Amino acid sequence: MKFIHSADWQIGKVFKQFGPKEENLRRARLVAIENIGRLAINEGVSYVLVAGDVYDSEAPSELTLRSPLERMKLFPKVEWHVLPGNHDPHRPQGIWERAAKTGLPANVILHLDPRPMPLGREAVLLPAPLTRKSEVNDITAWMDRAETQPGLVRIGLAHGAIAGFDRESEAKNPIDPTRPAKAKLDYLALGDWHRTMQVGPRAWYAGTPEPDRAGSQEQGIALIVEVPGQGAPASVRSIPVGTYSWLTREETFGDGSELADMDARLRAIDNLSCIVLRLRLNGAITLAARADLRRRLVSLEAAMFHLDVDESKLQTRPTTADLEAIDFDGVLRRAADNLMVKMGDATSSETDRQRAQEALVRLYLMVNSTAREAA
Amino acid sequence: MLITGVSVEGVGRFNRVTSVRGLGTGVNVLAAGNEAGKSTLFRAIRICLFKRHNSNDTDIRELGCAESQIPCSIALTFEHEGRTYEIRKSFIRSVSASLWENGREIARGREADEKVWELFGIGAGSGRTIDSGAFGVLWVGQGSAITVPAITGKADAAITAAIEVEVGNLVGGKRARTVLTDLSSQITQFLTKGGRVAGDGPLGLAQQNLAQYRQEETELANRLAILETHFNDLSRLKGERARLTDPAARQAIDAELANTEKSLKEGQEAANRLKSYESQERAAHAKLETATGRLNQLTETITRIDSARGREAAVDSEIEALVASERVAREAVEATKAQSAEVERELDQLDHRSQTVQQLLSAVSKANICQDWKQKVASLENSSARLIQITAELDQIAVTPEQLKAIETIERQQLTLEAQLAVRAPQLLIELQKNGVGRVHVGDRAVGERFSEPVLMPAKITIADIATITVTPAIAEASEHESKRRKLDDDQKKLLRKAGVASPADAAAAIVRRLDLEAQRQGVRAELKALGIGGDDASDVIADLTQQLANAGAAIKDALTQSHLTELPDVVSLEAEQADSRTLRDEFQRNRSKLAGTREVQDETLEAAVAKRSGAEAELTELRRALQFNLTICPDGERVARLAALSTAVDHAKTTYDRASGALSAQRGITPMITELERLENRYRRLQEQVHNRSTKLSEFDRDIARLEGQIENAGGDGIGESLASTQEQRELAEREVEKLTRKLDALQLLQKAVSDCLSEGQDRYYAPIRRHLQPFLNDLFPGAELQLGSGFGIEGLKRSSPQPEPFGRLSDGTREQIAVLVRLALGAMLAERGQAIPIILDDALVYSDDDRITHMFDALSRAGQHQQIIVLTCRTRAFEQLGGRSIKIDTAAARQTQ
Repeated sequence: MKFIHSADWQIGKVFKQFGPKEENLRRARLVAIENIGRLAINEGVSYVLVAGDVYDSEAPSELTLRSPLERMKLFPKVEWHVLPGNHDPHRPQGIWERAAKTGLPANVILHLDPRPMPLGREAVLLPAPLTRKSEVNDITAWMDRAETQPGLVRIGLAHGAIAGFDRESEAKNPIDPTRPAKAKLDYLALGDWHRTMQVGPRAWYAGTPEPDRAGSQEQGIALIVEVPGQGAPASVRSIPVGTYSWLTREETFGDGSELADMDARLRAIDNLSCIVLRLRLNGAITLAARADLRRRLVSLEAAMFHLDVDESKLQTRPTTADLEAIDFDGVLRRAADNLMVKMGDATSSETDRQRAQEALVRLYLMVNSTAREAA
Repeated sequence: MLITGVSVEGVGRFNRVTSVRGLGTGVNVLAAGNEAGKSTLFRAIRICLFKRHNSNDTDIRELGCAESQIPCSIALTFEHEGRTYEIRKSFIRSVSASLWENGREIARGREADEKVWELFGIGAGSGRTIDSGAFGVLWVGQGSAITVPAITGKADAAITAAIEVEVGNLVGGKRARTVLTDLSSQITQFLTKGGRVAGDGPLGLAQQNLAQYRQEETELANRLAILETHFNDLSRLKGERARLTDPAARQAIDAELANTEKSLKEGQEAANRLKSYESQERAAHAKLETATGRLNQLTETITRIDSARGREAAVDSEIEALVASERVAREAVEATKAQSAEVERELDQLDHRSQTVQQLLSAVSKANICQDWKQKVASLENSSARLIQITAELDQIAVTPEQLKAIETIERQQLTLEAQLAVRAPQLLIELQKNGVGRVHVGDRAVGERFSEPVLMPAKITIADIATITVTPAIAEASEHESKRRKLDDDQKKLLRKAGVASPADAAAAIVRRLDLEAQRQGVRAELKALGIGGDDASDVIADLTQQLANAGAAIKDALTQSHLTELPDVVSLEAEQADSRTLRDEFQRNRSKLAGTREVQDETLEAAVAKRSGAEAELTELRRALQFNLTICPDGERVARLAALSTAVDHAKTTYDRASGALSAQRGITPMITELERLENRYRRLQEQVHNRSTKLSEFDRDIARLEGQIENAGGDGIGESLASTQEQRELAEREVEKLTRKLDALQLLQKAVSDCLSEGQDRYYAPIRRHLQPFLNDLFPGAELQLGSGFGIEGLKRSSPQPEPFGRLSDGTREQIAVLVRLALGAMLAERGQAIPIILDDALVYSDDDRITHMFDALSRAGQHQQIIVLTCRTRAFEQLGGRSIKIDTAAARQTQ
């Protein structure tokens, strides 16, 4: 038995912080479905199991509602088994009934009830759909009592948090980690956790096929699962299917001389135009380096899909040369000196010190900008 | 520089050569009426110095003489650094320029233009005119005195140089101002002039966006919450509907309903039967009770007949004993009544005697009072008579104290008159020998051994028969004296006549008598008052007392008559008799009370005896009536037969009742309890309602489910969840944007403050020389005041009495004009101190100054004139006479001579 395990498509998710680029990210999530479809064709797989959260919201627009269904429809030889998750639980008149009313493609099978469903002649699927956002009880418990024909591979499909492993899960929806053993499952296909991860001998989280946040899945993944027969261990392969990679990097400066190295390191990342990078900057740099950093970051941002820089931990440490660049003496130099004193005043609040630092940086940039313009 | 003269031709109204000569150091005043051409000369000086000779700009065209075809010529003579110069320029026509130094031409044309500027260190600009440097600041045209000099360009350089010689330069001041301008520009984008966030600025727009997103988010969240509620309600309703439509549950309820209905019906039938048996049993029981009652009634009647007959005999014997007891009681009562009558009679007699004794005592008392009344009547009659007598005597005295006083006054005047006359009159002194005594007479008075008397009227001295000597006082004095004395005598006589007395001594005696009589009358009135008389008339009181005396006499007589006495006994014997009577009365009254108590007991005894006897007689009557009645019911002859018949009837009724009672007990054993029947009825009703409610609920569920489905379909189809997520992200972005812009604004404001503070600190030091020169002038007008100088030598305010400076723009026109002139004087003084003396020219300045202020301004101008040249052009000839200084005038004659 060979199938693709995917989950957490979160179609319709918004990315307003990206401004005009938002649509690229929204479209990439649909492209990921097509990539999975093509992967299935290429791998000769007939079944794609989607373990919940196809949609990001329970009340999407009609366009958003139809979009993933139309993408799945593009691959008629592939049977897509879709399970409601905590983002899109099955409720009367809910999203899935709306989807059904619009006309489901023939190759899309919704699992709205906890009822065994054959997957060809080799296996049977035991789905555990969520009917609310948050379940207190383990809705996979019914799998223990589900009777299936002898010899068939038993595959569980669920969305929730394996008990004791829910630090980053989005809802309670507990699932007993011993469920595969108790229910004699050959594979438990899980959704909810956005990182690809094996959580037991026969249980996997597929991870999202298109990342949507920093500090989580960096690259979109789908799992190709092969179960030779009932009781045989499954072999699982992770295949990249996403478009954009969400990376997080941290750079620490001693004085700012490391800027060139940082620039080189970041530019060495593959496929830079599809990188969403969160860059955390630490340490301290000079005013001159700060000006240089600004120029470099502007260039890097232009090179990448998106650059999010966190400078809150980056301190400015002006040098004598920095201050002389403002003036050797006179009004502006005295103002700069006064701001330096405020920056180092331990009796002031952190906010006031930060404000003094920012004022000094602005003075430096204004003076140098004026000087440049004058030149 | 020192301007010494100017000459013009073809300039303004001067179509002929016109000059002003005699200008020198200190204050120069050119006072002339309107349209004399003062301002034309002022403009001519400026143009001659600072315009190129070949320029043809508006200033020069306007300066030209309209109706003249001659060139516009200006010649200015001045001294500079020990040399004498003259610059001559012709404009518009036949343009030319030449510069003369100590009478020698040193430059012509363009060179002459520029050489002059070179002398004053104000190099040529790029155009055809130059920046006139400090001259532009210190030469004030007509109507410009009110504005503060704008110090820019070469003027700035000149003044700055003068300052920096003293305090050094203000390093970075210009760059700081540039930065501040830039910062102000940036902050202006964020904030309004009032310091509020500008609505159309980046921060304002970001805040508006944030508010809008927050509102949208709230609205969407509410709508989504409602949708979530709908989802939950729908799930719940569907679950409940499924439970209601469960067939197994429905069958169970139907079966329970049928069983309950059957049990209830059976129970109700048994209950109906039981009710019938209970009715039969009650009827049998009633019959038994009726038969038993009749038998008991007959038995009781027989018993009552037998009992009545025994009681009748007993009561007869009781009545006889009771009659005897009643008679004894009546006799005792009569005896007590007789004793009481005797005691009452004794008491009546005692009362009669007591009244008589009392009347006698009263008569004795009245007799005593009558004595007092008689004495009082006598006293009253005596006092009344005395009062009448005193009053009559007082009425006889006509003299009043006032009259006496007037009489005595005249008498004193007479004596005074006599004394005065006596002093002035000749003194007649006669001393006789013993043998002459009696032989000499003055008038009819015989003279003793010595006679001394003033001669107030002719006095005849007879010396026996020897001689008669007449001494006559001066006629005038005697006449006057006589006249006065007669008048006094007449007045005195009139008064004495009016008072009814003959002499002043009589008048005095009458007054003494009047006072004595008034004192006596006061005494008599006091006596009357002591006797109870308020006024002078006591006749009513006396009549009243007399009447009372008569009444008392009649009463005493009456008492004696009733007591059969001829005279009143003494009080002691009467009071002793009265005491004895009281003792006897007390004894009789005790006896009467005792007899009354005895009588009360005897009456009660009699009453009880009568009652007992009456009761016994009534009982006997009733016994006989009842016996008669019972015998009519049950005659003695039918007693046995009736008893037998009633006993048989009772036995029969008892048998019938026992049978009905047994049947009832048996039915009770098989009939359900009433509570059980009620329980079955309740249960049957509840089950029926349950079935009905289920049907109703199903209809309601179907309706609610349809409604919720419609609402969910409407609410869920517009992408509300997606919109909410989008809005939440936009709101978070807006929050970050507001935070970022706020941080930026804070940093800009902090930077602005840091630079401003440093710049202000530098400026304070930088402007010290200007303030030093300004202060004496300022003191001339505003003692103790201080000017606040801002950037670019601007004046921000004037600090006078209050700690806060008054903004310059809010000062009056006059004050602003005065300050603007003072600042020019100070700048001029500063430049002069640095060896760059430039004349200060004021054309029609101080037009807003009042008389007081203008005087102080003259002081300031005079002070300035000590170190540099001041040229004042004014049309206020009289007002500026006080300024003093050098008086100059426009001279056309001199020009003609020159020509």
